[in-house]
Amino acid sequence: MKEDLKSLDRLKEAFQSAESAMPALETCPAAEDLWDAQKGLLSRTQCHAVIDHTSRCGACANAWRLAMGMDPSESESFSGGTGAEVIRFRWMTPAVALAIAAVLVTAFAIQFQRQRSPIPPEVTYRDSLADQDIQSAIPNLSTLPRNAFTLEWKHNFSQSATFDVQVKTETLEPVASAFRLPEGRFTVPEENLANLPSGTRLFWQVVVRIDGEQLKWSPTFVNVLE
Amino acid sequence: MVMNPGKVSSQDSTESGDQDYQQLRNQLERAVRQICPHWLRDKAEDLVQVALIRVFEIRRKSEGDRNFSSSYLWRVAYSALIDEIRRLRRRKETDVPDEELEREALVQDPDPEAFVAGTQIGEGIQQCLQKLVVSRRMAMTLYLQGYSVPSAAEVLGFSAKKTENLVYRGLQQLRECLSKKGFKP
Repeated sequence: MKEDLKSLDRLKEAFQSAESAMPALETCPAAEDLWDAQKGLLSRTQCHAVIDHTSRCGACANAWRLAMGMDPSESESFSGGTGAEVIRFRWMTPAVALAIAAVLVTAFAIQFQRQRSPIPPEVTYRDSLADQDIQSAIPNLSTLPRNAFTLEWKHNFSQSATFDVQVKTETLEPVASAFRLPEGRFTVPEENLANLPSGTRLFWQVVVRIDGEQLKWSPTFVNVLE
Repeated sequence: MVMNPGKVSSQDSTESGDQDYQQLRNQLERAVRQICPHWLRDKAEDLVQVALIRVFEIRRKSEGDRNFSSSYLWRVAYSALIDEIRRLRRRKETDVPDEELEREALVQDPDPEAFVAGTQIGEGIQQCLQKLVVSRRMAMTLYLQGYSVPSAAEVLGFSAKKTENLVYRGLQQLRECLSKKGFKP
């Protein structure tokens, strides 16, 4: 039993020291996304995509741990530009303050999540609320080869826009994801498709970011694996 | 390079503006200091400054109407830190290592042989994780990051039972895979 625990500790330590096999930084999630995912502020699908990325990217796994170590719950809020003073309650014991802070942070998280992802991808599937400005450049349901499963999309956004793309199976198992792509094109790595049988329908969706902040969701597109 | 905070504070020249600035600065400073790695300590002041500039930029865009929660400020501080780490790593890939990166190597690398061995196992773990099914891989990743099973379940939005099962099977598979690679986990 003791040996088992030691072995687990060794595994954790080794994983946390892995920096190699770092993908190109262009494919890493933005720092804000890592923070939001770690703090539970992203939709479930987006959060899963970020976690999956950290399984193969030592640098982002490290960044995730840094977010784990950052706890803003003890800080006061700051009201910029109003000149408002921060009121300190003398009767407030640390336990009471912590409890209030936890409630406030939870409320903020819920509110933020509502604002940030008003249309989670699970809901937007073929939803008319999705942004019609992003359209697939490949015919819907067309078959694509394993060695060139390239997804392309058309858009009317400025050159400063970047794209996140998520590819899933029919049962919503993630197959591939990429972040901050500068162009409307993404090729699913062949190894990610290795375990999928021919004829598998793959669902994909694009998120557009403008100035790193704004989010727009595409409709969900479907293509078939040869 | 440490920028002069006065340059930023001069945008808010009133007394209340200065007070706001100081409060804002204190919060960002606290956030940066909490997680700034040892090897970047010398840059903590710069990072606070970068975060301040970002916050002022956001405020300028919103014409001064924007209120910042502390969570938001910490997020800004965090992103300034991560962006700086990424910038240094990008430089590491292309340039000759500089003083900061050498310091990082020293901090991470007290025993070079142990460090290399640990890194190799780490790489092995990353490769083995990619062979797991996605849900198992995600649960294992969080577990290896130091999450307990219930915490990992909460982050993933799975039940505790399901997560426990994913971690249990994931560990088995990971150990088998590492053994095949010649590592004794």
